[in-house]
Amino acid sequence: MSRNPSDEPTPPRPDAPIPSYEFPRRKPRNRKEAARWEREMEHRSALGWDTPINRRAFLDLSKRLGLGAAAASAAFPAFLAACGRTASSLSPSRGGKFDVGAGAEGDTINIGAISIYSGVGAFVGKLVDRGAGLATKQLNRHGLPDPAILKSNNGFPDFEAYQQQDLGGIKIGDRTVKLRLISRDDNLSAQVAVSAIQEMITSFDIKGLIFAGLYDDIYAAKRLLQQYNLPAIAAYGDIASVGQLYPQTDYRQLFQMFPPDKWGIELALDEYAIADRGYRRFAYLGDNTAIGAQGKRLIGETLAASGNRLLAAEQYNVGDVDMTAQLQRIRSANPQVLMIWGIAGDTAHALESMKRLDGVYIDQPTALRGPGWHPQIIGFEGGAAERTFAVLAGDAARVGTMSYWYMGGIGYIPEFQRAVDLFKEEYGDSPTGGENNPADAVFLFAKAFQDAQSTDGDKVIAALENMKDGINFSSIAPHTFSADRHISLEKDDMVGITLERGRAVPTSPPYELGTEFTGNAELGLKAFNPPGYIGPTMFMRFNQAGLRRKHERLYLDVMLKQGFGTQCTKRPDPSGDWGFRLTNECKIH
Amino acid sequence: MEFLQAIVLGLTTGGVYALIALAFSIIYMTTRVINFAQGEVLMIGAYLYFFAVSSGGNALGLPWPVALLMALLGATIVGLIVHLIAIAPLGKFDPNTNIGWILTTLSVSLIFVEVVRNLAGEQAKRVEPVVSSVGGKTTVFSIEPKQYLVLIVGVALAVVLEIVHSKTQLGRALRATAHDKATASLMGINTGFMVRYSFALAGLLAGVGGWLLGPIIFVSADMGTLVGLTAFVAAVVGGIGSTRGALVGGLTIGVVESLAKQAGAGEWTSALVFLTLILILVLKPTGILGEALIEKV
Repeated sequence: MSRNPSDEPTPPRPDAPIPSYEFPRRKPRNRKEAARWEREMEHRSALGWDTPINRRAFLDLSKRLGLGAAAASAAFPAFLAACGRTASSLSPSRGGKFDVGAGAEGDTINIGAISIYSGVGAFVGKLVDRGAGLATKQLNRHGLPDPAILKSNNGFPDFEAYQQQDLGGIKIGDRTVKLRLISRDDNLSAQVAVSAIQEMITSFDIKGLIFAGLYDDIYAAKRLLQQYNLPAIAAYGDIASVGQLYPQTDYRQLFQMFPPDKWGIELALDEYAIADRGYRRFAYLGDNTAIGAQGKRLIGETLAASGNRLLAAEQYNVGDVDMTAQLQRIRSANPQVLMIWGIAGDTAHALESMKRLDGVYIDQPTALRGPGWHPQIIGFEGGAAERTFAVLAGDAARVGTMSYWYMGGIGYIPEFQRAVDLFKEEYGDSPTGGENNPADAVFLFAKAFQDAQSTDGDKVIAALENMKDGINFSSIAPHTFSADRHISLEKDDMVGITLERGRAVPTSPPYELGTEFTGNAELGLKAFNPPGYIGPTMFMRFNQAGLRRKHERLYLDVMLKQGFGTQCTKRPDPSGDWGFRLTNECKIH
Repeated sequence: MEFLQAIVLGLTTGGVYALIALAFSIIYMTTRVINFAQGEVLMIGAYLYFFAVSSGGNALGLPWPVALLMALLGATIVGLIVHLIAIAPLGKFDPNTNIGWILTTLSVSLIFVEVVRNLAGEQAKRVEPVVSSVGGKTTVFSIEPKQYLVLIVGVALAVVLEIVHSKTQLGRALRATAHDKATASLMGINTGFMVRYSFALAGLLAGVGGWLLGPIIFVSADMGTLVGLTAFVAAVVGGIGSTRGALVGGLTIGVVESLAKQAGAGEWTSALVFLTLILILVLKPTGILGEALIEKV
């Protein structure tokens, strides 16, 4: 986009009010202008401007924090298991201030956390309490797990062995150092967040920061982080998809744990929809927030790269109930795939509207050339990959609805059941999902401090960048960073998500439900999901090459061989490495 | 065809607005205040029905008629509670000069939302529509029976209330209280009872609204906020204090919203609704069917 140099937006000065940008208050003249506005919004937001739609966008987005649970029934902070205090006793007090005591004596390293502790998004702060708070306590009791412990349970973490460790903190030189978590409420305002971070730096001398609040917090505070050279891990934000993560920018202090939408969209479209299913006609329906704007841009770019384009694109307002008008317009373009980019409740409403138009997905042949209009749905990870979506949409949510997530986010494999049981014993309920990222962020900082043997900003950042083995005590797969990759995941971590309904849909050839639904008598495995369970599960044909590279043990030996996830269609193949291969004969997935 | 569909869809959406606008109007008639917690009473009614009819967990798993009765009773009580904590403590006051009621009813609405959110959680709940359980599954104009039910019940209740308030002793007492509380009191009408009656009736209507709306927009702590605001606009558009006006206002707003979406201007829905409000207030300040109060001197 060309503009006069004087029009070029600049990052806000630290001592000046954060400037604001909104869409012009008129309808765009054409698609090009609409696209230009969207790019402008993203650009300014990324520079640190206040873009008012982003506040609502985050509130919507934050609902996807249940995604750990959605993406196959709960990613689980395993270390929470044997901790002695309940989450309620750790709730923030005094206006959102939160302090996990580390003891008055001895060395202490403070880690800051900025999250949402009040109002409609207060549940996000609770996730941080339960995750980062208890991670801190575990580390102060047991120290960092011995590297051997992380793989001693048949290649997975041995939780019992970790509970036997009694290091009393992390080791820096001869000293045993405890961690202390300082939490602050962003009050749903990036400006408040910047002030709170400044206060944590000056009053508490924090040596690391966890972002778990508004997306805008990250953009607004990144210059402050640079100024103090303070390493920060974004537990939920996706700043990579807007090109704002190092090395695309010079903010080397920023790290990200969330899988970028960009990767998921590329895999879902290129590998699945185009190459595997043979779809060529695509349409988009998305919400009026940054989720929708970003999704539409990334989908458009991905399709363009393969010579395709969106035949129709429609928008709805968050909270809209009836979308038949938009869908009727989309139907006139007769797309084979409908990309729905919004949160779970809205995605459910969209599919209920599809049902009213007799347009719900049946199978691939029908989507390609069958009678009527029955496109396959591919959805945003915070919408179609959430169990809430399937529950709310009822029978409008059809088996075969696709999305994406990352491999470490699964929590039902037998190797993690002990941890799940311990968690339930401790809290009396299952983790809601989303606790794991703040928790692992604390473990990452702890390991970085110990590896660096220092809290110096440069050394800690270098330690994070060189954490080759990573650490995972609340996800199945370890988080790692490198100098040129500040995301703790790689594209090879991405896995498909598909919707299942407790029993396999009759199809020719038939397919079997995963072990999480049916159990595996041969291996003595019980079903993880209760009878009649409706919800997302792993789709194992997606990103096979990448998963084999990155997760040979988890993907092949556990998930595939033990029959987890939807594996349609699994064919014997004595010539293959594992005695079978996955084919795309199944017409549903 | 699609235009007709949009009109019908708008009428079904407007049915809910009409129900809640009725509730606004009834309270306004006796007290001259707007109960800004009305949408939240609807939300609580929806939650009560959900927990009564659902099974598993803490839910009761009752048959839907019993669950509905329970929800309506609960919503009626909640309506009275709103009066008890937001209006009654203010004592005798002139709502035109003492605007404390705005803050108290708004405060109650926020309290209700936070209480429900903390008790019931963030996740929205799905509740099955009654019509599908009795066989109604066929869509007409791509609109489901559960949506038509809203329109049918909304119109029916408006008609019943209109008859009750114009033809019965209770209705006459209500109108007398609305017209002149002091004189009505001198005539032997228990005006305090009439005020409480209006809050209870408004709660009952909100309960019906929650029961009807839950299966359509899902049950959540936020569900009443936007519905309540839009229904307030509908009540003003139709003529606040008028039963017929509430119905007309509700349906009008529903149709405006639906036509906006049909025309591809979904992102302008709220703007168009409020533009309609301004236009009506400019052209007819008392609303479409509202009557100007004439004070004799």
